[in-house]
Amino acid sequence: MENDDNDIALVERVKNGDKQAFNLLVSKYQYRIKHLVARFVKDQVEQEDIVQEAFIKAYRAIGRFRGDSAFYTWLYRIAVNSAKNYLVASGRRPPTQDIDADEIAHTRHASSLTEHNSPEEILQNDELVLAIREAIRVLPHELKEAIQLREFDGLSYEDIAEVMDCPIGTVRSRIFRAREAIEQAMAAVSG
Amino acid sequence: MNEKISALIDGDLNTEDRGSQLSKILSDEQATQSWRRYHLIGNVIRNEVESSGRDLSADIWSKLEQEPTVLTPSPKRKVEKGASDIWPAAGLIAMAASIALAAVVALGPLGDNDSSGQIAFNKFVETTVAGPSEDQKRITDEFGEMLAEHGEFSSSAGLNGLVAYAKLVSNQSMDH
Repeated sequence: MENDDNDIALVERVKNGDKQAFNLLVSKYQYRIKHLVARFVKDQVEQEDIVQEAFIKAYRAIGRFRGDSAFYTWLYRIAVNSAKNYLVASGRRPPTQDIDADEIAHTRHASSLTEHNSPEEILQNDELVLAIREAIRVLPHELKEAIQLREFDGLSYEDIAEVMDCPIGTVRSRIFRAREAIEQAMAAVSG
Repeated sequence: MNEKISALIDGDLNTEDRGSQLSKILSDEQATQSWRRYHLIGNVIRNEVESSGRDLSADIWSKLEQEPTVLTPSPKRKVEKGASDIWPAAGLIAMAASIALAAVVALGPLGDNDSSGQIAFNKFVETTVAGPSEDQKRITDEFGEMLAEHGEFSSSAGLNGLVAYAKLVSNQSMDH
């Protein structure tokens, strides 16, 4: 379940001059966009440059975003174009495949379905990500299942309630307790 | 409060609660932090993040503020009558300046001393800077009126001549 309503509400606030609202969109999407850009450029510093460029372009053009597509779809296209332009400007060839709608729809699960981190890549993960993974690993089963059904499978509370055979209120509570436990582990690392 | 942030992120709040909750997140640093962390948890679960890195918001605003403002041209305005009046005036001044310059060139060799050149030069400066005299204005006005009246016969008039002719023919055929 993509949550476009929050995006639309935030975009409206940005259009009315609320910069902090744009920061919430950045923190929501920066990793997903960086993950997308990583398919074009391997270097981490270059990836961050492209991600920043994409968000800057999005901010400048946000007045023209009418909500015909989801905000993420719009941002996705800007990021892909930014990555391709970056490659052309630096004398490299961008991939020949064009963006297609299916690709957009499945981006959120692309890595988990097609890629596995090598030991070297795992070593690159910083402490915060390791802390999050460890906190998820040690979660009680019902909390872990609830948050994974929500975040990984993208199920709604109603669907999770059906899968887990429990009331929606219980689903809401389990997901919150899972997040709270993981957040505590994050706070312990980052202060 | 964080339970509401969690529900908000999952789209489990109605429109009214969503608005007030977003306002709280935007005004409360701790709530903003929870928003960031909850989203990062989702990113990690979906394997969208190898390294948490840092929040890019500050870098983005820094770049936006560093870049110069690009002033785009405003849409082409419909030419107003007042604005178009500038060009005939400029044309008259240019014409007067040309006449004065021609006078300087022509009278220069006829003069018996430097004073005639100086007079011509003074006249040139006078007409160029101060504008044409009344006589020159009258002559150029009459000349301009004549050009306007006979514009359709001008070789440079292009379609204007044909259009005027077409109007005449059209009127004639209507009379039949």
